[in-house]
Amino acid sequence: MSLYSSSVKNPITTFMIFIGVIVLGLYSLYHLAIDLMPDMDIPTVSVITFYPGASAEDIEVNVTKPLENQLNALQNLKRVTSQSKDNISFISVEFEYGTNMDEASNNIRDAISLAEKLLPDGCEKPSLFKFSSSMIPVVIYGIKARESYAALEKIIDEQVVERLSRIDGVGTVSILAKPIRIVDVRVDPRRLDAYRLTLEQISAAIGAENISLPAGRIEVGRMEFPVRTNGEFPSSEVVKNLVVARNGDKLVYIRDVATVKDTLKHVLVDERINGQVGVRLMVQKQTGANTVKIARLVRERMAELQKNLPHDVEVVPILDTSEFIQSSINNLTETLLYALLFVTLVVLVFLGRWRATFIILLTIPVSLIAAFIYLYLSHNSLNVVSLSALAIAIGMVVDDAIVVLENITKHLERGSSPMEAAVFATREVGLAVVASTLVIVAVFFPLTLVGGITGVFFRQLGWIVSITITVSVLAALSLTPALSSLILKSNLYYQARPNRFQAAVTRVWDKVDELYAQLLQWALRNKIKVLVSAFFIFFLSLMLVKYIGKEFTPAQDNGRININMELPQGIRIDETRALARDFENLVQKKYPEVRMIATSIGTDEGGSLMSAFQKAGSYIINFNIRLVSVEKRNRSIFEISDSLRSDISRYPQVSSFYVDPGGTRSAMSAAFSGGGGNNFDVKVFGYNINETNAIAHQLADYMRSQPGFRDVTLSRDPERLELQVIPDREKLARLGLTTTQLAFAVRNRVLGSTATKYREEGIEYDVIVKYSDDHLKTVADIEDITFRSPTGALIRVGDVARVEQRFTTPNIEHENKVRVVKITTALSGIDLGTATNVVERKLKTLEVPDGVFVEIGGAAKDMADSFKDLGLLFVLILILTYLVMASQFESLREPFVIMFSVPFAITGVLLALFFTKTTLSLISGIGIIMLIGIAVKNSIVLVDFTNLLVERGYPVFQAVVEGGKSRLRPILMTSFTTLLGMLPLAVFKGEGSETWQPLGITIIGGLFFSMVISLIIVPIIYSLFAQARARREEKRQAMLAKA
Amino acid sequence: MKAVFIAYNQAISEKVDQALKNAGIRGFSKWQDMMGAGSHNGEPHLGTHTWPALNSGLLTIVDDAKVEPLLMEVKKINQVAESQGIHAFVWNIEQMV
Repeated sequence: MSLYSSSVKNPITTFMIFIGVIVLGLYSLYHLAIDLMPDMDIPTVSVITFYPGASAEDIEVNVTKPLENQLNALQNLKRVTSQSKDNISFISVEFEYGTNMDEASNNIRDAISLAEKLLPDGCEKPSLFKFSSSMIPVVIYGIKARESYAALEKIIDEQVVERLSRIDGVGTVSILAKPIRIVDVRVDPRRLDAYRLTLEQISAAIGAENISLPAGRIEVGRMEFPVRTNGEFPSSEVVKNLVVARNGDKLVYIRDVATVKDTLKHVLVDERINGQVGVRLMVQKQTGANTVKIARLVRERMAELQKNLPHDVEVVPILDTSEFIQSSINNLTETLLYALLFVTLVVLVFLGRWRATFIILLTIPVSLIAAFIYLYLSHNSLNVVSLSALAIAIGMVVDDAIVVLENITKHLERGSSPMEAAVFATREVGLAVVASTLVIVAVFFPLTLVGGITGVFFRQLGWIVSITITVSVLAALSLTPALSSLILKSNLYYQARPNRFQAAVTRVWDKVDELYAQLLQWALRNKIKVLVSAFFIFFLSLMLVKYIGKEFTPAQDNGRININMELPQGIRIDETRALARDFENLVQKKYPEVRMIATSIGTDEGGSLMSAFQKAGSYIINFNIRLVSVEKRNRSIFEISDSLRSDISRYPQVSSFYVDPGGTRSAMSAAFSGGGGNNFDVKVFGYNINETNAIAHQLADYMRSQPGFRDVTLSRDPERLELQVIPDREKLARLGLTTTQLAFAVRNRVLGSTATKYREEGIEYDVIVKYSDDHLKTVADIEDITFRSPTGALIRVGDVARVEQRFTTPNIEHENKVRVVKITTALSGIDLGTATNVVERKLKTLEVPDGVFVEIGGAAKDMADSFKDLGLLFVLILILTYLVMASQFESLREPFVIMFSVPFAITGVLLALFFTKTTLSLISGIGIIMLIGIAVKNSIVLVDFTNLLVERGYPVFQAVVEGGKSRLRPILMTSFTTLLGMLPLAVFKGEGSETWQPLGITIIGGLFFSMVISLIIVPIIYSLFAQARARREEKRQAMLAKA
Repeated sequence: MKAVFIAYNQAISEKVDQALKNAGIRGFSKWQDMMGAGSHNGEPHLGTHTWPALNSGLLTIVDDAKVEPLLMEVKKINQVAESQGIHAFVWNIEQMV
């Protein structure tokens, strides 16, 4: 028994099945995690190797090279990039998308173990570091304080970090730039010399005094006592009164040769929130945890905790990833609801019947909710992509139900009983409905096979639309007839009295049908004229391509701006700090849109891993600016950024800077935030540092002079001036010394050494001994450093070594083993395609030395790759659609006629993009591909019905006109449901809307234009083919007659 | 005894079943799917893509007295929805075992 007849006979079973689907769907929805983007397994593994004391060039040759050679042979490898800096080699291994990362990590480990033998002694074991989405901080708080600043570390550790870490799903909670309490012993070298002491003796003395040692136990009578020598410092005050040496009968105290302070470490970090001192608290989630939920729990817990914090401590959110996710999701949900409303109105206006409208609309929740089950079962999240897919599907899922219901109504009007009309009418159109659904699936299913970063967008879209459409056709073939048989009334037997609304609707549509028939008759009589002008419009529209911008993904306004300023290297942190304060004031005053500005200068010493990812130093300032939400301001982040750029360029001391709207420049956030502008990379490859520098600087200068290029920065830092202590080995040897001893002597005095740890309330603080700053001011001060040789003599550094100023390259980058300099720039006002042209034109005029070559990469490369993918996909889908249609019509000719609606869809897209000033991007590309299916669907209905009439014996001309007239309403109806379903996507503004706007615009433009044109052109071409066939037939008859 | 053969659009089988009941007839033989076309007008019912409708056929052997009420019922159906298509044919039964 067929699906429709059994569902009409067993309506209860049918309803129960669909209610079951809805219940399961809602259950899945309840359990779905909410996230911004579908899960992306970033196929990148980093290999980090520390080699203390080595320069960038040493690292490059001895560490990076051998590792790269092994890593380069891995399977599925996309590319290997590396950075060799002082003390650290940072290699990042990028695999093709879809690579099994566990397997890849194992392979990397094998490769490293092969290379390890070649690594120099003293080099630490390379460590693996895998990127994952859980590494992006969920929330970052700024914690400001005044009086309590000194104790902030302890307060936060005890009262905040522990409590937050206990929240389910929270991975790590870390404090950045926390003030560190130390006992600071600053030694005066002149006094040391006077007492003939060395710094090492001071350290040793302090270390020797601070001791608490168990000494066994003694038995006293019936008792037993443990014995302990306790010299542990009861307070930090003790330190300055320790005895270092005895000079005759006089004791030398620490206070005689040094100043001792219990203070905060003089760090090269300055962290400000709205200009006030503070620290940053970063919360990361566990893998797979729900960002939105965790952020909410953290916020709630934080609000509680805040009550117990001292009054001057204030907590300000700097970053809340969930906020953007939540508002994007809310916007899309709103979009979905509006789409639902519009679709309802369309169905009502076309049908004029409440009951029929109800039956059709019921397919929407059923098929959309089925998508949640898929998301739940495939461990996906509810995200921007999946919600947009639903918004796209909403207008299409009603189409099948509309066709079925329309035919049922027709049968009822002819006098069938509802039950039988439902069965027989569904049987009549069942095949056509299934076939047109197959066409849509033929378009969307290939999207699920797309790989790479584009696949992240496409895969879910493909699955969700394929699934909802399939469920909708099942619903149209079972639920729709079952409901119709129960609630629709037969016109003749029950004499339904048409209400006034319905009568009016019918009158209007009859008139529209009539007008269209007249238009079609005119067009059929002027075929050539109409066709020529249509193709003229088509080719004219192709010219528009030149005037439409191209970009990878549309830039988003996420309300965040990052600014990076670099001052000349070697500048003192106080100078940097003063500039930062000044700029903060300016921003606060001039930009009312700014809600919060967090500033950081310098690096955390402990955060060496972070330093691998982010460039930092006492001459670099990072500003993290948060704006009020999109609706509350007039300027976009891009406009504000432009204005900020002109403000910054007024500071003469800033040597280079970039303003990064959306905060996408840093490697980590770029992959996940999905926001902000587009980066454009030009890579200059070559071994010779000077040659590549020259080319890179010429290109960078040229790019700076061109309009549209902003924030041009080079990845290779300018050569840095260093004070190098060059040992004279002979002299050292004569004194019984080695270079190592010299090196440690210098290090202990300049950087300082940790003498011991002072303990207070269970927390240990370092006691650090070093030369006082007053005695480390000139090159001569380094030469004057004295230390003791094994023979006991005091040696001056200047006597055994030279101190020289030398230039060194601070970082060397590789891509696929070749040295590279990257020029990174933001584009503003021009698109990636134009930028590529500008650079290529300049390159032609440059004399590039042998061994140096230039490549354009970054978002530009991704764009080229994905446009190529899109082109292939377009062709593949065209072929698939043709296959499906040809087998449906059992003819090669009809699908060809139908395909004529595709070029006009493209015309519509180009017109829409041009007039709305939207760019051609990945998203509008998806739109064009989707249009193949949507545009073709209309023509299928038209041609199928015209065919039917011809077979029923109508002459071609009459069949075309009659067919058009009778199919006009269903075509308009299904088109308008799709169009208006997309409308909210195209017009609503809000956070995250930029991504999907081009899709809405593309589909609306393309569908509307192709609908209008194909209602005229497709019938004309159909009749041309039919006439040609008739003539051939006549000839054949004539030939036969002759024979 | 007469044989009545009714050929009709299967979309109205419900009404034909009711007609039999109204005429007080119990026994019948039925062909569910049958192709057919009218001699003068109306759409052919061929079960194809072009003419998707199908007929059913019903043969019932009844007492002479029941023929007239049945034909009346059929006529009624035809009057209400002529475009659906229904025809009844009557002939004599010679013998029955």
